[in-house]
Amino acid sequence: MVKMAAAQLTDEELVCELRRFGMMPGPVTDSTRPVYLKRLKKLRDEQRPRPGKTRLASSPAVDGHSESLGTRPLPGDVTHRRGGRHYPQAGTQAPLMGFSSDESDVDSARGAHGGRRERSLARRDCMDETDGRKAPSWWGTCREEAAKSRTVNGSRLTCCRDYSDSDEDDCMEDEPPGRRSSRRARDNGVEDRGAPAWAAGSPRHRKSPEAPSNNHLAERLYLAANSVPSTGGLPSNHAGSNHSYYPQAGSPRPQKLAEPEEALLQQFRGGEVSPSAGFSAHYLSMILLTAACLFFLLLGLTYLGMRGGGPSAEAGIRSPDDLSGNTAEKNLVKTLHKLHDKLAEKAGEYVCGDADYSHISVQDAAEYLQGFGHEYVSELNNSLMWILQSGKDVGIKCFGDVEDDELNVTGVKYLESTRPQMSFVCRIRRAIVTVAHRLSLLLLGVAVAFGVLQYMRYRWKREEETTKQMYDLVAKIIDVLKSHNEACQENKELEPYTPIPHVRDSLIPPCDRKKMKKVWERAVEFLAANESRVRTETRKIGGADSLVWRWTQPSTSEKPSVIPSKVWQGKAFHLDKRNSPPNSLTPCLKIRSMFDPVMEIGDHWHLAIQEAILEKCSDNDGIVHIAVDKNSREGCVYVKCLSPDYAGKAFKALHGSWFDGKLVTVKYLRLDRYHHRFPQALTCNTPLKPLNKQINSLSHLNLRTGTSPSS
Amino acid sequence: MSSTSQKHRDFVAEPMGEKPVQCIAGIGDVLGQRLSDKGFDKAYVVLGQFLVLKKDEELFKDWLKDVCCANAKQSRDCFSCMKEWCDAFL
Repeated sequence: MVKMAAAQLTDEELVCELRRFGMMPGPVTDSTRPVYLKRLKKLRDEQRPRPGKTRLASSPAVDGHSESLGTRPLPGDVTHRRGGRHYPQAGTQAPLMGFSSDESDVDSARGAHGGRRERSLARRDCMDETDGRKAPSWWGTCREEAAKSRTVNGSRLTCCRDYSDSDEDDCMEDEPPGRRSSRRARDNGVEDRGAPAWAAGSPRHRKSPEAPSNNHLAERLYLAANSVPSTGGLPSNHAGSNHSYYPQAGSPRPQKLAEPEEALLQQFRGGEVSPSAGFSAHYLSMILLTAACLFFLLLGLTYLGMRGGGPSAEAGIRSPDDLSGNTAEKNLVKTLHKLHDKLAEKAGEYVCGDADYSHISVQDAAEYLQGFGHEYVSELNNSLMWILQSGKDVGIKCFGDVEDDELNVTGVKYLESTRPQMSFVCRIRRAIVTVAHRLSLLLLGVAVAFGVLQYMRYRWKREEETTKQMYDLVAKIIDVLKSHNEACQENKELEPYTPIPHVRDSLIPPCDRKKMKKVWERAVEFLAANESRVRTETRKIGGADSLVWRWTQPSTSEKPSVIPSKVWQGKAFHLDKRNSPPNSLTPCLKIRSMFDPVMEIGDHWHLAIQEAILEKCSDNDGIVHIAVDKNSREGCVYVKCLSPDYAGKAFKALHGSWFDGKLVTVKYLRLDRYHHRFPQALTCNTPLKPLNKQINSLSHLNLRTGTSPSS
Repeated sequence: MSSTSQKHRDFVAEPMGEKPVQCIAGIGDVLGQRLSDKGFDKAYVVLGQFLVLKKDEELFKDWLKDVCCANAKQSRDCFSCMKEWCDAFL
């Protein structure tokens, strides 16, 4: 219903309502109107969140033009008390004939501002009248009134026949008296929620920019108050439908106007989902999952218990049963059954650890059979004979004192079951033990595998590190040899070779020599195998043979101009107003094409890039945070400066420069996004400085152009 | 921050001139057609709506969803496109 109310707002009212919620809306046009309506509804819903009540059916015919100031419902039992007392200026016969709509509207009217304002007014009236809530009954009516006055949306009562002030169209709505009592009961329920809203609403109302409307409302109130005596004789109104609509006064705003917007808002409202449904569904799925887990656990345990118990014990003895025809054989079979059961039980106890032996002696068996009758005892020998003769596994094993294949009846001392029968608890226990055992084995296996994996990774990492160290060392050796070679050419007195141990000692500090021994050996091997410019010779130095390296590259050739990596190579274009933002907007920059992640090796290349940026911006002491996005294909680097001015300087310094063969582009980045991505940058306030004083990355540029790097 | 599309960069890189609405990031052929049907045939008309809504993100996205049934990503792209263009040129 609230959306109907919202849909009926004029543009000015919409703006007013939105302002009231602290928004500063722009112009309301045909295209922006639905958006603002939605926003208003959302704000209203947030303003007064209320647990969902059952929504009664409400008639769509109630299409009151909800000028929020327009109308106001009043219960009949209040009206006669206040007639003419507060609003003596209007004493004529009041043509108002209706009451509020049903309570169900209250539910959906939760955000209706008009309702709140009216209610606050109603409350104030009540207060005035009741002199500080003395009489409970009066308070009750006040409450009811207040509750009703919340039912603003669509529930415009009051058709004013000769009320000339109204240029709004009013609808009249009636309520069967029988409904009122039930509503009153509900009113008590909403009382505590209503009260604070009233307290807050009242002053706001006084301050509202539409102060003149108070009079308007007051008149309306008065008219409503007077209406009951006059309309008491019009039973048709009370007996009428709950939501009758009388477009009597004024020019009714056509219903169709409301419909498109309503449809729109209906669509919008469709998105609301009852939270309770999602809640219960969540729990249902949890319960189902748990039940399934329990089921499978039980199934597994039962299965293991069954397997532990062995196959059906009866199978072996069935065979003689089938053969048997006469009574003697039946007796024999019965005896065997008894024996089998007893022995299986005994064996089960043994397995479970309750008994010391899994077998019983023939005497015990005879005693046991004695309990069932003499005929069983007499059959004992026969059955033993049969067992021995059959040679099949019938579930009973006979053995004597001596291990002997040829066993006769007299030699049999003990009987034992081959199929132990265990109690249920015992089976469960055994099953659990089995499962635990296997699980521990599995875990052990997993742990071992994990350990091996970790070790392998460690090994690989070590390997990589040493390889890297080795390459570094090789590069250094070549450097040393090269520079030595150059020195030799200038100073002919020097030997054109270098003893290997000297190179090692000059490159590796003493404390590391032991540690680096392996690396050094690998580097030497590598040089011997893969470096054609270095020749290894044996020379006599100081009287001892010693291996030396000689740099054999022809020195006459011009040194190839190797472009070192990670250097700035000048500007691609000049920045002017056309291709740069007029002023820096944020203190954050995003720099593209600083590197290619595929080409980078090692772990610390991003430091070199940071260093390069800092060196390029060496005149700029406002850079506080640099982040190299090592995985970005575009080679993105993010820079945060102290202020937008610094960022502007950095922008000018970096944008359009060649770096490492790539054209660097810079753009501004919003500060909140930067912080979203790099939360640690929030606290960075100290300007970063280039670590290396030599400005390596710009030296090449200086060399080539001979100009200052700052352009 | 999430990287922006080429379309976004192209749009934000220069004044919009008489570009059609389809040039805005997040607005493809389908949405562009819908917008054109509703009178938003040029990018600057959408910009006008953006400005009329006072550059409010939520309102603008709501509007876009209403007017051409844009999904969340499309409306977000469109909004950021407008926003950045305004930041750069307005």
